[in-house]
Amino acid sequence: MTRKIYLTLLILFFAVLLPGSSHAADRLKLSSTTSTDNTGLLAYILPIFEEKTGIRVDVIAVGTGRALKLAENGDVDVTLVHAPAKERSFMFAGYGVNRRPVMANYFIIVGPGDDPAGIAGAGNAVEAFMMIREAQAPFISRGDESGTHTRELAIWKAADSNPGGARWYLETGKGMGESLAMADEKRGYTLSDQGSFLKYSDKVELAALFTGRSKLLYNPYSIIAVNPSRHPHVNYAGAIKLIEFMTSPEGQKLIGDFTDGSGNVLFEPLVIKIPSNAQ
Amino acid sequence: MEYLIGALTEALKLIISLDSEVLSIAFLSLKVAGTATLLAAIFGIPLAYTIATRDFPGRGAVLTFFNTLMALPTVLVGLLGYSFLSRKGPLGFLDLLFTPSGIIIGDLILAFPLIVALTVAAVSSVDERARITAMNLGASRLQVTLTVLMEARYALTAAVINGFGRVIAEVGSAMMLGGNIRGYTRTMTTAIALETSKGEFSLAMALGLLLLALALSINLLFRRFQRVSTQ
Amino acid sequence: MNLYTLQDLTFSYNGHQVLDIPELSFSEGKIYSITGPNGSGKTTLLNLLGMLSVPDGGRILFKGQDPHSGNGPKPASIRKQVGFLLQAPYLFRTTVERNIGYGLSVRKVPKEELDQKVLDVLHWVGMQGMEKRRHYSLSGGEVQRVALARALVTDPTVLLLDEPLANVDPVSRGVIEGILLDKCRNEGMSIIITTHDIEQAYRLSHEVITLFDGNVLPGAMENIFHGAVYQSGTSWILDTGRLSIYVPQGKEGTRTAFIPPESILLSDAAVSTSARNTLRGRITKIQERNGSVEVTVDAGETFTSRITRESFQNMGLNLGSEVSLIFKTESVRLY
Repeated sequence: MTRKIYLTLLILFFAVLLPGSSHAADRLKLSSTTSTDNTGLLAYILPIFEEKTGIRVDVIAVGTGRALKLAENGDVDVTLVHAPAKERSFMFAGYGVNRRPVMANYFIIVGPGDDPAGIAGAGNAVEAFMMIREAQAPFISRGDESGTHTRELAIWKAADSNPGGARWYLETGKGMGESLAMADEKRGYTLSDQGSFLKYSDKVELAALFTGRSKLLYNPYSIIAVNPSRHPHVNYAGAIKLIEFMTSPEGQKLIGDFTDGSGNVLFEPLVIKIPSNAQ
Repeated sequence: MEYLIGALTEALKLIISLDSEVLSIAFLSLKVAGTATLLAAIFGIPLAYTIATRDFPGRGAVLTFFNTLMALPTVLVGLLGYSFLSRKGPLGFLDLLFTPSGIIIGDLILAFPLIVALTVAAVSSVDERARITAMNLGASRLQVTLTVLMEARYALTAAVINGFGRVIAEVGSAMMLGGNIRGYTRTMTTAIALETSKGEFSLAMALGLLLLALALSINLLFRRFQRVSTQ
Repeated sequence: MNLYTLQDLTFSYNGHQVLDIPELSFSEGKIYSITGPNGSGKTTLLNLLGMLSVPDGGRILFKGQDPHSGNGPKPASIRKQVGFLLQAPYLFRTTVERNIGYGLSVRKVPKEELDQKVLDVLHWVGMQGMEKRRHYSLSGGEVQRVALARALVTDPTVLLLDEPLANVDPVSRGVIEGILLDKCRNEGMSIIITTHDIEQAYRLSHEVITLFDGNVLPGAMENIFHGAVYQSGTSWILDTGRLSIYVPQGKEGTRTAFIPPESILLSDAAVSTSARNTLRGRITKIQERNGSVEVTVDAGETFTSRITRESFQNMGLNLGSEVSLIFKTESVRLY
């Protein structure tokens, strides 16, 4: 009697869970970074793709480090990230195929308006970081293996310093938005991608203190399909369709046309150059 | 202060206008937390009854185990769930990661020990004579069980409400196992986390208030049930 | 056929034997009282009869069938024929009506029939109109009456009652006693009651069974003495604190002695016999019971002697008379 009841319950249990596993070809899982999701870019561009192809895109927005990890484990079908060095080793290990550059913007160094470290007059990004270190001004680091964090560490390395553990160097382990909010509260500096800062600028009193189109601040985004020979279950056809769309004239124009509320272009399309109206 | 009032006004506006995205997020949260709580209760209450009414070696250890699991951190459940449900994990073939069912599994793991531990306490607090009286009056084993559970209905309802409260309010496991996918696995709590990270505090606040309102309605509903069942 | 037949029944609790009954039987259609002091095993025996516990040794037959043997009826199916009233009855946390109907609803009796039976039985226990009252709004006596109604509504073959009349108001007591006598006399229901009120036991029942330390005593609960047994030379003596009784050779730790009332002889004169236990005392009570006469004598401790009506008349005893009590050492039983 009791055994029968338990058996019924067990069947019920799986009946509830199994519908979730109906993973059809019309669903695509994209791991991406908070910078593309929080700026609203994906919410703007993906519905158009969905309408064209009938493929529903599920976005999992995390840091670049985790986005790549999810792709490596085969938990997503395609990934859109911005950490060229990490992407290269990802490709080299054979986790991904068909890596395509999609768009880019620039990292900027932001900080309190009165700029206590005086980085506004710095000659380049490395010099600006050195000035922050000299002034022992609070610096907020993402500390989460994201694309931004990876770049920040690269700049510190170029400045020949390793601030980890210093009292003025604060690792948040949080997304860009939260890190900007924290820099605002602490009156500190931080490295941000342009898009996130523009989206967030009306909520904080931070200023873009150092901007420049140098190689060290260049922030390109790539889209990569998960290698179907490693993970046969992935929706490879869907991933290729998304890559195709993002790099097509239509997709590239959409990226170039996407602005924040005040008309600033947040991402420059990389494949097909479109005259920007922002600069 | 001005900012806080602004956020609250915005929150109320959102709630009153019944924004369709907010509604679908709320509905998903309810569905996921409700299903997980229901499953946890269906499996947990019979198990708890057995633990409470039988004497077996290692009973104390089992109780300690469930009491400890009541304090299970939600991110740890998320992490464990991820390692099992990921393609790299043993249950990857089920394709449950980043689906509502994935969140349900995490929530189930969170609610189950809570419901078991509280139900054991509820059943243990029922007078031993209730069981004996039911037996004397010719009740079958199942009838005796149902009678004892009926005698414990207040505490039992409280156990289920607690389980529901834990899962509808948790964010760690829902974020890791659901992935916060818009329109698919975005729950109230992961949406709050997202909106907070985007600096959209008023929307986050609105969702928070809505979550509280939902929790309140569920509690009122359960209280009504408690009252009706004692008539 | 006997309702219950007990054979070599033993039961232990926490490794301590609390019941040891070589033989005992209960007939159908009679009222039995089980008496004995607290801890004598009354409730344990009742639980065994109610099929609530399983004996450690021996057998308990219900209408000739052993429910613990694995074949034949299961204890659960016998419980359906047995009504049981706990010493402190438990009412389910609901209405009087639902409490009383419980046994019927678990038997899947149709609702109309159930409602009618509940009303009938409420009437018997004098609680008509109180069916909607809730468990917490009843007095102790009302709880007892609801519990009795709940046990009776299923028409059990036998009704087991654990101390049903202790802590009950006089009205409820009268109602309960009346119902029990009526059920037995008019419907042939067998009734087994535990009580430590000997007067009540004799007033209500056809037979009285006395338990002491898990043993069935051959007589009523008189002549039980507590004290320390010690050895003095070749003799063994029980010192009750008030007097000393010669007892058979006992084992260390024995603290209780019982003397069957039939073994105590009375003499109106001071006598010297070979019996070592000879005591003098005054008669405090004289009672006729089942054709013989019980004489209660205060000789430091209270002794009861059962003698024939003839010898009672021959001796011309009266209340307050000085008499001698004589009993043999061997007739003293140690427990």
